[in-house]
Amino acid sequence: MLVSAIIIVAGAVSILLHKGLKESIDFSGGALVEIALEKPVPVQDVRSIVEHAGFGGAEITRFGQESSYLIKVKEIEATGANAAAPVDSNVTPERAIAKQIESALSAGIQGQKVEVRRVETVGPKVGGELRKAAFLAVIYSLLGILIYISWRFQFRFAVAAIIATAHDALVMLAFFSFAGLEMSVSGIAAILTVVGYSLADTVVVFDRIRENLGLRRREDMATLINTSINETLSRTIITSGTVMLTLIALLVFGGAVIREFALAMIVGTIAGTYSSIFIAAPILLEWQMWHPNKPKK
Amino acid sequence: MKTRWKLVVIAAVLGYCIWALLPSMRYYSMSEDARAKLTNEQRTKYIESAIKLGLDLQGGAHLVMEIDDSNLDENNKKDAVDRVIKILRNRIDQFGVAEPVIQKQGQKRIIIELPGLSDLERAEKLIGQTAKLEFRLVRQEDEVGRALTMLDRTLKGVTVHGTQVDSTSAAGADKAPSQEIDTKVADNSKANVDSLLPTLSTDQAKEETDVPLPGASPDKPFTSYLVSVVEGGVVVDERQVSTVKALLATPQAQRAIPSNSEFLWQDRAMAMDNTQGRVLYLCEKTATLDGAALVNAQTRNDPDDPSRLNVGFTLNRQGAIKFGRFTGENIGRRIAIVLDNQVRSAPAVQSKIPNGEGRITGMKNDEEANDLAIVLRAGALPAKVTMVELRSIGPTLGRDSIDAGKRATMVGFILVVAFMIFYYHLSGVLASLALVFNMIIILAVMSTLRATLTMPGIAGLVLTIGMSVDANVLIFERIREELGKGKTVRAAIQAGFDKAFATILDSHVTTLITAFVLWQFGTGPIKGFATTLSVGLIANMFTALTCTRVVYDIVTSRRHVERLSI
Repeated sequence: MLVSAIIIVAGAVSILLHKGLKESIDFSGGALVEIALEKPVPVQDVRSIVEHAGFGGAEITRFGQESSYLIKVKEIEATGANAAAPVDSNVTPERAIAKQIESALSAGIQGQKVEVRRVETVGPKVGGELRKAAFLAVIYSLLGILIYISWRFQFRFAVAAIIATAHDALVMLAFFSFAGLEMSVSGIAAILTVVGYSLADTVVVFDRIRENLGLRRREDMATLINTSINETLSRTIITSGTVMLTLIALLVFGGAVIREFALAMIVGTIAGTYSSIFIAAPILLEWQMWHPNKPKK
Repeated sequence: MKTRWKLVVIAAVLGYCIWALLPSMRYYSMSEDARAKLTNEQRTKYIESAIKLGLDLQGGAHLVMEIDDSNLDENNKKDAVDRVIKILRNRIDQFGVAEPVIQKQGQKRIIIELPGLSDLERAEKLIGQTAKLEFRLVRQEDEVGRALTMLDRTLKGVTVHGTQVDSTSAAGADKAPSQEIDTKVADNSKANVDSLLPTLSTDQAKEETDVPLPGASPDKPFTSYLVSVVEGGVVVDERQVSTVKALLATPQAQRAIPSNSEFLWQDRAMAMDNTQGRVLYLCEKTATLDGAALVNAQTRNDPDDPSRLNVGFTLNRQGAIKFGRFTGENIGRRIAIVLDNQVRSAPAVQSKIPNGEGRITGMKNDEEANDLAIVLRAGALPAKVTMVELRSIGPTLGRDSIDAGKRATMVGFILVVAFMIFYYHLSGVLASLALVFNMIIILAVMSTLRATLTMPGIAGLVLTIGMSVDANVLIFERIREELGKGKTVRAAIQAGFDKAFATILDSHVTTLITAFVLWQFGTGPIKGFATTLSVGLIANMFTALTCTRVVYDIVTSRRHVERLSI
């Protein structure tokens, strides 16, 4: 538990230091252009062209294959100076930026033809709404699970499961911050998937506890929980193992678009496996210590 | 008996899945050539029954348009989105994109998906254009001259930096001259536009390689930006269009322009010596006639230059009568053909046009002419639309994603199967078969639901491989446990399945809850992920609880099994 606390606190500090998580253009609004060249060139070469077009604040990275580059512009306020073609009035500033970058690069780099592989532009309003929707999605899923587990088990089980799951989500957020990854829509998807997976993990342990509560009433809670964890341990390890195998397959072979998703999921899966055993069950035990309760049949 | 029924159900499910997947298998194993040879009818049939690939896999554009209904009254606001959708569908259908998706999202937004789109910019223009066509009378030279003189006067002291107007200095300056404006107007009524132009002539410009930009001079704050005069209008250097625009938007300038007139820009820049210029027209503020009277628009060869296309249009009867009267009354004057507040052309009226036919010229290429005819035929949008979100993926990225997805799926599958067989022996083989069946069901259900397979969807599929063995792992572990307690193989299997059932149900339902929320929240690719994950979870319960069980039951019922390979 101490380890988790350290990770989460460190994560929180890191998030605060960076003034919040880095957001992808999904949430912040902005423009993204992915280009591919025939042969790789230094990132600096791409940067100088983009800078020359008036986007000094652009973020440029190699992406996936050696010769692919990702160009992101989030600072839309810079558009005042390099306003788009003056007459195209229904072109949004984000789109105008993407267009300017595209046309600046279309001249080619070191004689190589530039292929535009992907263009994304998101208006700040849409981004803001998406951010809200993502937040609500996490809250709703936790709420839905709280209700389901309360119904199938007991309220205390539900609370313990939710805390364990929240732990996983927090560890993932901390990871995003440490690794300098951007929070995007697929990042949220990774978190929600881990939430689901980790809960399934916790439920398996709880299920054993519930079963044992009915069978061995005389045992004290600590022993009972311990036994239950041990009985399900092999399953927990095997399943996390197979999930991990597929995640590694995704990480290595799934392509650049999926890579961050897979990485976040790997961290989340480790946290999820750990939390079911070392967080959910102890909380249940503590609760039992303070408020002994006859289990319902 | 029970086993027999289960077998029937399994056979039925498998049969259905194969039937549902047959078109997909045929279609996607076809070569490009074979696909090209299909008739349109065959192709639609395949596309309708095969698994749909998401935009991120096949390439294409996802656009979210937002309508601005602030200028509409309550009555028109209600169905504005629906009318816009109808018109956009019309335009896109004529544009020729296979399988476009056009959907309303909320009150003001429209989602448009254009699979396999190759020319993004063209599509954007076709969709985003309001296409409001108007015919407006162009003001005559003396009126233009008067307006320019007034502008010079009222704009004294107003300076522009880029597009930012610095009007603090103008506040005081603009009061004093405004007094004398009225008195001076009469003197300038015969003002010639040419005389107002700065001394910088085109001859002078030619001599210099780097064309200097005309700057604002203190006594001619507006006309110093003009570089030349053409028939019907004045010309501004393209690089200064935004500056002049900002000047014209100032309240001082608005006061100088007669209330029944309006400055309109030409829709494109023209080549001038060494530089580019854009014409600024002073037009009547109200349109004499608009595109509502238009019944048809077609591309046709330009009579002056047969290699180019322009757009001919036909007006309805009432429109034709009005147009005839209008042209008859204004012979010799210029009429601006205005599209979305930009002047396409401003031809001089040669004679009365009685038949309600006209043409629009000046298209860059045939595509533009084609698209203009399409938008004119489909009609103007009742409200302006803006693109608030765009995600466009090129076809090569899509192909790379498919390849990566295939590889990841294969590798993930092999790893998991290898592990299961290593750890559970023959039972592991059984679990692997269940896994294959599981994936077949997922794909079949997806093609039945006409759900879209996206890149995150493939990730969901790969993840399902890892998670779906979970149900079997739970059962196998339980059976091992029961065997360890000394139960017979049959009893152990029975107990294993019974006890694992509640666990499998609970753990799957909790995961389903989050998958459902994800489906609600996500758009496009993320929805695809949620779909595969959900279908996978449900299929998983079926394969683990029914299929694996049946095999065990058959094996143990035929003969007495001493040892279970688990």
